[in-house]
Formats: sequence, C-alpha cells, structure tokens
Amino acid sequence: MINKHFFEIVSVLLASSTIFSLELKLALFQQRVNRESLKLLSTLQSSSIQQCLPHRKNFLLPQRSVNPRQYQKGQALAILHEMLQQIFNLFRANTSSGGWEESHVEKFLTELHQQLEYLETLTGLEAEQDSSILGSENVRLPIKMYFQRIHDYLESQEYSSCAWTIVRGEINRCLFFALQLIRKISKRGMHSSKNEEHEPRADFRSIG
Amino acid sequence: MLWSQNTSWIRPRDLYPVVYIGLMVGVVSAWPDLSDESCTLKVTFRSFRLILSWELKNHSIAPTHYTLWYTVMSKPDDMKIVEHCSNITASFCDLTDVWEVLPETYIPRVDGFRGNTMLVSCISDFFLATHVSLEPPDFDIVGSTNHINVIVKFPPVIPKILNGEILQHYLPLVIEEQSGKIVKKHHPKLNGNIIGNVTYVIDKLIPNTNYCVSVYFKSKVMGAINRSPVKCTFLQPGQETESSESAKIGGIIVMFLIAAVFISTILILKRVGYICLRNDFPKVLNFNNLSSWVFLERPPLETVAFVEVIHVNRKKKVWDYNYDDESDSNEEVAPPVSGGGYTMHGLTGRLLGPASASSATLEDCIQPDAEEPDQSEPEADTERLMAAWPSPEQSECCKSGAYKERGRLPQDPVSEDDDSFTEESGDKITFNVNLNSVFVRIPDDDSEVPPTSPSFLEETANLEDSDETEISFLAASGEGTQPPFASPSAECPWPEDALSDKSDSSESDADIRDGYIMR
Repeated sequence: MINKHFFEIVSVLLASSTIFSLELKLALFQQRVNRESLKLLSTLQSSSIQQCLPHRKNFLLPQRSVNPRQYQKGQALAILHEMLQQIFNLFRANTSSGGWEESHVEKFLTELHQQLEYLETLTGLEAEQDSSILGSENVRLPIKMYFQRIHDYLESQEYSSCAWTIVRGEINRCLFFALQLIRKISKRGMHSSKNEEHEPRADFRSIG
Repeated sequence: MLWSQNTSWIRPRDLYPVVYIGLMVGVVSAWPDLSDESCTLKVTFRSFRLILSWELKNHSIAPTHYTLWYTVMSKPDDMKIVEHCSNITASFCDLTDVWEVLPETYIPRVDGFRGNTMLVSCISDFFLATHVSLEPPDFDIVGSTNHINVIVKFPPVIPKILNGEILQHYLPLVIEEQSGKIVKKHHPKLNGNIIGNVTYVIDKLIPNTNYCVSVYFKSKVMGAINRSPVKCTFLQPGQETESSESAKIGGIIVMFLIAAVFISTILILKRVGYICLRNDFPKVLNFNNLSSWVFLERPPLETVAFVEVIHVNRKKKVWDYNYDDESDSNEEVAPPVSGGGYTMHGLTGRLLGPASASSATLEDCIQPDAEEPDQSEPEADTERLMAAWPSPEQSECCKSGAYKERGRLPQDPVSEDDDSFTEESGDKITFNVNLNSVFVRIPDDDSEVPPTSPSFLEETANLEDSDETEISFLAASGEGTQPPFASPSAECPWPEDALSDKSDSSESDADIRDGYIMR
C-alpha cells in the first residue's frame, strides 16, 4: 500500500507543508501544487510487504534535527531545504527501478523543484537578515548523513522493489517531521539572529 | 495408424511427479490465502479510539476467530501479538494504546482460524499520519434566538497518538453552518489539553431561520475529510423574546402608573379635605423617641400619699363639776370635753410622701374662727361626702372635711412647718375611718374649745370601749381627673344644711346632741 500511494502521500505532504509557508506568494503556489498533487494517483506495482519485512533497516533519522525548538529561523529553513533537496536527488537518480510511472515521477519532481526554489528565495531573504544562516552547514550535515545512509541502503539492495518500499516508508517519516518543522517555524516566528547568538548544538541523536 | 514400439508412453512412474505436483498445487491452493488482497484492512478513529477493522474479500471463508499481530517499518523488529486481540471473534481491534506513534508505518497481520486451522492471513501497512480515516466526533446543538451552541464531545482522556500538537494542529476541528445555500465554516481553536466536551457558540444568526450544522476533522496530513451527519435546528423568532421583554416593561409602567394615580388621589383628597390625615399621633404611637419606645419608660411613680395615722386614745373623763381655774390651768390642756362627757380626739394625719396632697388639720375643721363655709363647694363636696359615707349619720367633720377636699388630710401640726408638705392641687387623698372609734363633732359658734394637738397624746375616745381602732386610710393620687382641692379652711366647715337634710332623712341611729353625733 505504501508503494501504491507513495507519490500521493509525498505530494500531500509537500502540499500540506505549503500551508505553513511564511510568504503568501509561496502559499498560493503551494495551493496549486496541492491540487496537482492530488491528481498524482498511481497504482504502483508493489511488492508484498510480507516479502519485504526481512529487508527493513533503521536509517537513524536525526530527530533532533527536525526539532526546531533549538534552532533559529534561518537554521530551520536550512534544515527544511536540505531535506527537500535530498529527496529530490534521491528520486531523480534512481526512480526507474521503482516501477513507477514516469509521468507521475516527473510531475512530482517538478513541484518539488519549485518548492525548493521558493525556499531558496526565502532563505536568501533570511540570509540577508539572519547571519546564522551562513553557518547552517552544521545543521545540514545530519540530514546529509541520513540520506547518505538511504543511498547506501538502496545501493546495497540493488534498488530492489522491497528496498524502495522500505525507503518510501522512511521518506514518509522524514516529510512528516519536515511538516512539523514548517509549522513550528511559521507559528513561533523565530527571533532574528541578534537575539540568539549561541551556536547550534551539534550533537544529534538518531531515532530508532 | 501403427503404434510404434519406439513411441514413448507416459509411464505411470512418470506421472508421479505430475500427480505430485498437481497434488501439491491442489494442496497449495488449499493453503490459506496469504496474499495482501485476501482481506481489506482499515484503520479509523472512532470516538477518538484507533480501531483496526478487516473484512474478508472471499466471504466463503468464514473464520471463527482471529488473532492480530503487528510490527513497524522503521526497525527490523519481529511481529508482536496483540494480547487483547488474540482469538477474538470480532473483526476489529482497538489499538489506541498499542500504536502510539503517528509518523510511523505499522504493519498489521490478521490470522483467521477455524478451530486450529488457519484459513486466512491478511497483512498490510499503514503510515498513520496519512492513512488513518478520521470519523467525525459526536456533537449536539442547542438553538436559541440568534445563536447556536455546538457541543462537541471529546473523551475524558485524549489518546497518546493524538496528544500534544497532533489534535491541535493536524486535526483542526471544523464546524460547518449551513442555511439554505449559504455555508459558513468555523474553526474553533483547540488547546493542547482537551478534557470533556467543548462548546462552541455560533452567534450572529438570523432568527426564524433553519440552520444545519456539521462537524468534522480537517486533516492537513491525514486522509479524506469525513463529515458528520448534519443536525438542524430552527431558531425561534425573536418576537417572543421581544414580546416578553415588552410585556415586562409594560407591566412595570402600569405599576408605576397605578402607584402614581393612587398617590395623587390621596393628595387631592387630603387637600380638598375629604380625608384628614393626622399628623399628631397619640403618645403611644410616637416613635420618634426610639429609645423610649424600645426601652419602655417606667411609668411615673404614682404619687402615693402615705398617711400616718396617729391614734389618740382619750380616756373618758367624768366631769366632777369642778369649776376651779387652777385645775384647768395646772393641768395640761385637756382635750375638750363635750357636754355628753366625751373627750374630743383629734384625728391627725401626716403626709409622708412627696407633697402631692395638701394637708389639713382636724383642728382646722373645728376652729371656731373658721370661716364660713363656702356654700357652693360644700354642697358639691357634701354630695361626694354622702356618696362616700354609707350613712349620713355617721359622717364626721374631719372626715367630711377631709373628704371635701377629696382626700386632703388634716395637717399634722408637728409638721406644719415642714416644707415638704405643700399644697398641690389635683391630688386626691381618700381614707377610711372606722366610725366605731371616732366621733365627729360639729363645731358650735359658742364653742371655744381650742384645738389640741392630739398627736402626742394617747387618749381613748371609744364610746363603746371597743378595742377596734381600725383606721385605714386609702390614699390615692390624683391624676388630674379629680377636682382640685379646696382650701381646708374654706372646705372644712361642716355643711350643716346638707348634713341636716341628710340627717333628717335618716335619723334612725343618729342623735345629735350638743353638736355630737351620737350613735
């Protein structure tokens, strides 16, 4: 079932994340994306989950990274951008083995790209006001390491359907935490970098 | 067609694998359906409870009981059995306290048994954040004139999977209000700690209009929106409320008018004089002096005049026909002796109380220089005297004189100069004298017997030698109703005319001789 509605799920997550966008323009765009994503219904050839149970793996999602309480606004945006970027890279390179329809994947990647552009624009605006964004590599690193583990897993499993089934389940979790991150950023209205001068914490604890 | 010896026949030995495979296929086909499509699993929220339900696609397979297992996708954990959903006959299971992580992919497996034989096994996966179907909550509506109270029923304890921000941010409550073709959505804000029912008021509604309300959870991440059945109410027109308010106002106005008319009528009647409202209330209704009203004042003490009767016993003297002057001069002043051989006694009374009554001495009554009695008053006094006395022949001068004065007792010559005894009009002094012990002498003109002061003399003058010398005095204080006291000198003289008239009327026992009334 996860393979069936994966793109639907991802699209809904992406569309849902746009609801909490800070800019009205981005919010209007995301509403359109939401409508389009609803159309991305695909019945994917899915492997029996029963058969994929032995292929499960704990990718150690950095839960603290997706917890925005300890980060400033710019750093939270950086984390969000990194996550979406990694997802884009993951599906752009190796989706052919997933057994999905090309059209569905193309549309999904297009919408994801547009959202990344808006985030980059927003991040650029914040970078002019928030000097902490320049030092956001520290917060991006756990996300990069997390997705590197996913890449390595897919490669080890030779991009099998069961591997993709497991990865899709992991991406769902990642997007849900991204959604929480966006909501908290928009709700809290994090302070500018002048109020918070401390360096972000670099200790991450993976879940699982 | 010639059968060739070279033709290879299927030997029975070769059929064994086929049969075996066929049997195996048959057996395999008889194996339980382990595909994912053998049954349909569904996860929903019912009254905020996470319920996993399943339905077999092949209805010909009817297991008698089920057992539920589950695992997660994020970790390579083994299947875990759900204890309270083991060997159950129901086709659903409450997993509220089992599946507690919303962004997790749970993999349940349902095994259907008939006896000890497993007939079906269904497995699926659910990413709860997106797959759970939210059923609408229970709610009630209470319509009023211009608003509707929507009561959404929440459980006393929110499940952990919906705790915190999930219910607040990912399951926002939406209340739809529909009137005709106009639909409005209300988004009540739910705090993190929701306990019990939540009431939301839809106000600014139009009275006399029918409204329908629907409640649902609008999931921003989860599944499709599932609206509740609508509940409709007709808002009562506002006229009833207005009429009730106007009725109240009208009633108050009418009451005021009635009170105003009544008061004005009273004032008019008073001015006209038809009614006279007293302003001077009796003393007893005078509540101005509250203290006196609360603390009742003791009535003024009645002025009681106490009279001390000094009984003078005069001994009977027999005149020895001695005209010597020495005897008269040497001896003490003897009480005057009447011709009948009786000794005069003075009846002296002394007022012991405050000067509330005038006093008059007995001797004043018998003074020869007494002024002529006032005829007018004695007559009146005589009447009173006669009324006081049971028999006129028993009337006596002093008593009559005293009675004339309505109780004015003869003044004690000892205390004549006593300033405490002052005349005071309006007081009444009455006293009773036992006629058996005293005699009353009507003074004559020739009689020059000086009055004596018998207060310190013990003389007996009991004609009948009676030991009874009961003299009782009844002193009564006057209260303004009594006629004023007359001067003793003017009142004292015996009203001869009145007495004579009275005495003539009843002269049975009385025999006046030498001025004494003898009995």
